[in-house]
Amino acid sequence: MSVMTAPPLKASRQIKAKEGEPINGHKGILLSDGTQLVNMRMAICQALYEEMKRDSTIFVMGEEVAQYNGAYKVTKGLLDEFGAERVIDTPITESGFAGLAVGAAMTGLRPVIEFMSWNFSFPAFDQIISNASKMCYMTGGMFPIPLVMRGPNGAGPRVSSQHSHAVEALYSHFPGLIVVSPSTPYEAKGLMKTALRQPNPVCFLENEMLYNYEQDIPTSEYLIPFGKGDIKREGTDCTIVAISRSVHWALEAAEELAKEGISCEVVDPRTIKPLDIELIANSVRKTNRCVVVEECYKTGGIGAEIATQLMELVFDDLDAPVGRVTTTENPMPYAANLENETLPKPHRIVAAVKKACYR
Amino acid sequence: MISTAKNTIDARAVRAEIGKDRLLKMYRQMLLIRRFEEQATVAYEARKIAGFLHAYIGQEAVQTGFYDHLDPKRDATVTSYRCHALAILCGLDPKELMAELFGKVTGNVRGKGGSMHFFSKERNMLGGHGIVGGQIPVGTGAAFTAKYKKTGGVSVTYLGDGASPQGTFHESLNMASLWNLPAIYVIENNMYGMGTACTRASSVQDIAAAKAPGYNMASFTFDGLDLYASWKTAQQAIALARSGKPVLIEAKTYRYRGHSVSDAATYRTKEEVDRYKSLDPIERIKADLIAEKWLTEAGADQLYEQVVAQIKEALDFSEESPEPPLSELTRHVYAE
Amino acid sequence: MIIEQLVPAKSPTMTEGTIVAWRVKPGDKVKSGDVIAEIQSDKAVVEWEALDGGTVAEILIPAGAMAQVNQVAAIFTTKGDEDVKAAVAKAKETNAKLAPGGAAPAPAAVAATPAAAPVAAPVAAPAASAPAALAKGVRVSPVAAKIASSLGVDLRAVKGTGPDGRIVRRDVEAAAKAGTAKLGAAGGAAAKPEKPKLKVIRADGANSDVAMTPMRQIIGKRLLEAKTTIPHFYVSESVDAGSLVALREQVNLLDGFKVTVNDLIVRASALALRAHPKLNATFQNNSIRYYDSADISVAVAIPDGLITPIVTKAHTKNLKQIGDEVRALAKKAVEGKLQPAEFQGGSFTISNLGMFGIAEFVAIINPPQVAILAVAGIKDEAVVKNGTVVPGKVMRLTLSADHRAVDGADAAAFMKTLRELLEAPATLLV
Repeated sequence: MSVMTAPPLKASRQIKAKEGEPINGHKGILLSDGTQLVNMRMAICQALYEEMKRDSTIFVMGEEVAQYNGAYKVTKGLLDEFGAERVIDTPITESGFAGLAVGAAMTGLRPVIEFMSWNFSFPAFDQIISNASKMCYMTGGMFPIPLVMRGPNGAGPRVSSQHSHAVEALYSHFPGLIVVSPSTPYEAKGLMKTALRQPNPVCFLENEMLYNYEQDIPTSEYLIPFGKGDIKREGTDCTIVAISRSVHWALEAAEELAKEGISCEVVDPRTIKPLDIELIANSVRKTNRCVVVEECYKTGGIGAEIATQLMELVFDDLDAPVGRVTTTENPMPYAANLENETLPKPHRIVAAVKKACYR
Repeated sequence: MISTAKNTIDARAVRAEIGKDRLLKMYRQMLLIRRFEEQATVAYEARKIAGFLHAYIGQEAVQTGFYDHLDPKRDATVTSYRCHALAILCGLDPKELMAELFGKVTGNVRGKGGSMHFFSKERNMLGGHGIVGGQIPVGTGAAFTAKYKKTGGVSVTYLGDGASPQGTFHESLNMASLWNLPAIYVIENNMYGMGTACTRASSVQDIAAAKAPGYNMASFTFDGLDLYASWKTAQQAIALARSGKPVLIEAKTYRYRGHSVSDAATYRTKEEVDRYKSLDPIERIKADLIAEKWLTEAGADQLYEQVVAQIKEALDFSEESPEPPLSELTRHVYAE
Repeated sequence: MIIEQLVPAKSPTMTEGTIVAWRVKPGDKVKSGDVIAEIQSDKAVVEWEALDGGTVAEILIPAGAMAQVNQVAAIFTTKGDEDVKAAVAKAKETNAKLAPGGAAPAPAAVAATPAAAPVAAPVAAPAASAPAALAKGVRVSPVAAKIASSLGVDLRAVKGTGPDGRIVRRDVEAAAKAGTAKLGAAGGAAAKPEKPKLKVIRADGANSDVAMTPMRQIIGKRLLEAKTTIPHFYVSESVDAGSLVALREQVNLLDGFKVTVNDLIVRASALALRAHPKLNATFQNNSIRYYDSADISVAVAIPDGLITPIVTKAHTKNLKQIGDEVRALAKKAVEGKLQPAEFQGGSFTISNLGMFGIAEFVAIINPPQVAILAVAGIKDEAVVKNGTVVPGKVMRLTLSADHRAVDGADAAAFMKTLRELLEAPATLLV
């Protein structure tokens, strides 16, 4: 298996032990072919576990990360393994612990902080922007900030306006930050390990709705570099660039469109910043059409950025304007039918691709 | 209103404890800070320096008294945008500091930060921060590291009275106390957050004394114009912090000049400023040094001339230094 | 040590200021922090604290004088034995350089002949692979344009199937496959390139002197006299022109009718003048002559000037008559065939710049008449109707009147009537 290309996904179901309890933590289920079965939360936990074993300066801090094993169980078992000095429950104090992490990073540690959800990063916005993202530059390179900020991003299930933000566009606006948006367990693990070995502040954007996605991943160590995207499905008629959870919606839409004779290529950039625009551009050179799917808003979203870069790079290869399928420009409503229309679900992707293909 | 801190210390005893050499050293540091700030202001008004410039004139005794107890190998310091004094106390060369103000590549952070962003990795000085209160969690993080790595170090975080109403102050103090971090927070209450008097911004006027109990923390309040009070308070507070008890301190001090160079400070009276100037911390130490015969008038003049020459050298160096090359524009956005 | 006290920039935007007063005089000893002078910056009078102490040796810029930032205002010494004279000479040199118009680095001299401005090519040269001569409105996607040349497809012969007929990749590919649009075959049918809609306005050019024509001399003389001797006053009114525009459109649907906004205004003015005869008058130095008939002069632009042919007895004429007459007179005016009786006299003038879409203007009275109406263009604007903001069409009218003959109330009453007529334009038909 190539390190660069993700193995196929399994349908979402919960991995259960004999007693019927879902399995979390860092230990995957060993399979006969020498791979291991994990879900997304286990993949992230495994990356944290392996890197904390390697590097004693790494500590994990956040609300409910230790004794509670993480609000979403991503850090399950780490407290038992590494103790309360390295796995630390905080008060509800995002600005405080984000700033503390910046100070710790400046003095030789490698903090991993969990925002219980990225929605709760907003109280810490000043620390992330004014301190973490600027520090290396405004100290002339004297103080790099090796900091990983992680947590679930994007819409949860029916949690309405204040708990459904997708922050890719927001944080990738600022120079100095790295923005990672994995769509599979395989990638989550490889990208997290990279994040824990490099010197810059990383916004590691997980997706709550993907935590149960399962995949067979290697048992041997691998890292996935930043700035290298992945082609999740090959096709000839239209490129769909999709991010995080949208990758799965795009794959569903592509399946639907194939029945109508439209062949879609699904590209997953994996990191928003740096962005593998060359991979996307090369795909569009082949298909001449592109639709970007994301959970951010349309105005100033990732689609706006990719469309502009494509115009700069492959204008003469376009057969249609670049389409965008985003969260509609309203706060997330609670009602199920409204929520469904707000998100960039497959039916909207199908319509956008057809439009780009003049069908 | 004049400083409310009662001096309970015995100046003679403290002076004896400090001793001649250390007192002379601190006197010279305070002179250097003041001369640096004065000449930076002159250079600003001559348009050599632009942007913000917040002078520390009047407050010198606070950080000088503290720094005498710190060991930069293990102790970290961090402050607000009024950061020139701390950098000088850390032993950074006034040349690189002045060059930073001039926006030159030879500056402390290669001309990328300016007046509000002085740093030193080697001396564990974590800035230089432009957002009011933004540095308080950073200082807390340095204390966290000291505890995590068991270095025995402490962190000293300086903030103004204007920063104490910020949320970061509350969040940091709560964490520091909760986790017994070796953190010292020094509120330099110069009575005004920009143009707003502390009485109009804070629900309590003795901030440390009133707020420390809420965090289950020890507190000290001292006369920030008195170097002996500063030195003695620092000695006690640092000992407490090294034993794992965070401390909240308030220095009642005063800035002679406006909040920044562009602030004419019309919100306070001439009489008030003059009253504080009559208590000048540097003049008082000079008088003591001469009374103790640790320094002669001629020696004082000589010392002052040395300081003047040192700052002159810094100005000349800054003037002659090149601007950053354009290749610096995007360098250090990410770590190399 | 010699210390030059440089005039400080006391605000971020200050470049010069006035030394309002000196607080020190030569011989005074000054400590750092002492106020030495008061300076008027561009914001306020501020105290100037010395940040360098010493003995005042010389004051170079006296109180009350204007000073440039960084000029040497005073010289201090720290010891008695310095060469103050040399320092003063040097400072004076510095000050001269910094003085306005001094030897300070001057901006680059303006070139005697302005360099020729780059003139944009009138039509962009067609790129090799781009369709050079597509008919107006034909759209083509970038990749379709690109592959058309490589497949030898002439886009002029391809029918687009994309939105609004956009030629897209599949159209070019289909044409290539069918061989129906080979490059070179459809050349004769090619449409000519569109003329550019915008003209290049040249930035260069020479000055020229042109003698005034007799007409310009007369216009100049008459209007100078009118503007300088007549006590003009002005009354403006906004007209909701929605109904007017709708009426005109309706009338113009009738076969053989062509009515303009101007015709409607002439008709309305004639009726309003009948109701307000004080404006239908001429000023005769010692008397004012009021007219029964509304003889309306209509300003017409002609090459190098303007002329005001008259619609006589306009109040007795219907819209069609007025329109036909105005157009006949205007044609004659442009051709220079007006008879004196057709442009001399008149009791009131209308000047209409509405065809230029002008927002608002005022006109000079055409003596000996006592009033002139300036008509601006009809604009789409937000208007308030029944307490709600709605889209509307607004026309601004400004009456210039001679205060010797007319008072404000008369003018206002006339304008009110005129507005009411124009806002209920059915009244102009009966």
